[in-house]
Amino acid sequence: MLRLLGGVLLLASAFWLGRHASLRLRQRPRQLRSLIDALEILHADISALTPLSEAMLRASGVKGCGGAFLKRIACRLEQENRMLDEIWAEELQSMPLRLQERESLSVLGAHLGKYDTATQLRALERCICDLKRWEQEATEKTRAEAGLWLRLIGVAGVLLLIVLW
Amino acid sequence: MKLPNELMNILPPELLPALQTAKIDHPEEMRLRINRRLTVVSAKQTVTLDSPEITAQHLDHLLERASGCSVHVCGELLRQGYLHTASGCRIGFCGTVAGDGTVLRALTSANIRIPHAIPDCARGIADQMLREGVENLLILSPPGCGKTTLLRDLIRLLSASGFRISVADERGEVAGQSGRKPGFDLGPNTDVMTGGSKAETAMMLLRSMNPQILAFDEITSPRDLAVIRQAVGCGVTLLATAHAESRALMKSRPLYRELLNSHIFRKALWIRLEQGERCYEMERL
Repeated sequence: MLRLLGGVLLLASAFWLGRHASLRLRQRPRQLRSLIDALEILHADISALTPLSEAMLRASGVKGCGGAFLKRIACRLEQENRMLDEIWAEELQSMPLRLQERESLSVLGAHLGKYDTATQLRALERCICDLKRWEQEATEKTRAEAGLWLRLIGVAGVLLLIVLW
Repeated sequence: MKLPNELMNILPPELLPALQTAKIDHPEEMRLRINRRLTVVSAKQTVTLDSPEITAQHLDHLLERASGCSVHVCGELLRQGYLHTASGCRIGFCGTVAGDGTVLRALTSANIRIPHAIPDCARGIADQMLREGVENLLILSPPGCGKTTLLRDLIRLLSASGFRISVADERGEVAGQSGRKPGFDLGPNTDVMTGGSKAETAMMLLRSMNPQILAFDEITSPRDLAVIRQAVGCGVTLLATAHAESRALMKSRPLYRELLNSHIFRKALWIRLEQGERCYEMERL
């Protein structure tokens, strides 16, 4: 009986680990998509000469980390007497991003609010283009590997069970 | 020293302690020049504060915060070399003009003009106008003598007396509008159009708000004069301000010569600063 219980727990843990790894893989394209959607709204609003705080608050309606990121920045701009690039850099640190993504967004933050419309839009387009490329890579990787992780860890769990049994 | 809250949220934080400890009544201007300390100007004195020296970072901070991190929105104003804040402060910048003139780089100095209301500074003038009849009035003085402050109070008093007044507030300095909230009390019967060109907004107000009095700050261009003529043709009384040191100097400038020759304004109110005090002199034109 105990052996059965142990076996069930072992299998459940293995599948949970596999599922967790698979979900993490799937999350990355979603996060990037959220950022892209938010920045695209920002792009549209800046083209329409909307003040940046207002544009960020509108873009904050996007679900996920992208909208939340811009909302935090808009709120901090309102409350803190600091420059945008400082607040942007601080908020970037708390985002679940890889180094290249952080760098691309950091360059964007150095342009927003400081330059004429055309320059800001070009910076946004560059960043959105980079993010789309990484999103596509992440989606392909997820397709290839997510199911594989689930099966791999599941099989490892079954094998372990057999060996221990 | 009392300053609008909004100004405290856009000035570089390193400069705030010096401002908070300074004892200056009614500051009118603040001057920030690179590698020099902050200077505050009032009607009676000019004081250099014990502040850190102004750096390029300070000026960039001021430009960014004053524009609401939205330089792209302020292109037209920056082309003229200044921004105005929600509370009616006008911030002029000096630096290197770039691109099509809507971008300023390498800022070297800034001048913050601080508006304030002096309640009842126009009481005597308002009473006189109400007694003798409200006619077109031109408020004249050299720069920095308080034309806008006087105009603001005059609008308030006449509005409180029941006149419907419309204000073409091109630079947002008369009303100091912050979003939908007026920064200054302009009276219960006053409508304000902020931004845009004076000529266009004046026409919008004439068409839509049915004013008895139309007010605007600083006649500076032939377009302003054309609007004045049109307004007078609509039977509206005018209140306006203009830069002028004396009547003789006014006549030497083509725009003002034309204004005087049009006989649109029957009265002129001269403001002069004598030993830090403002003196008012009404004159029939």
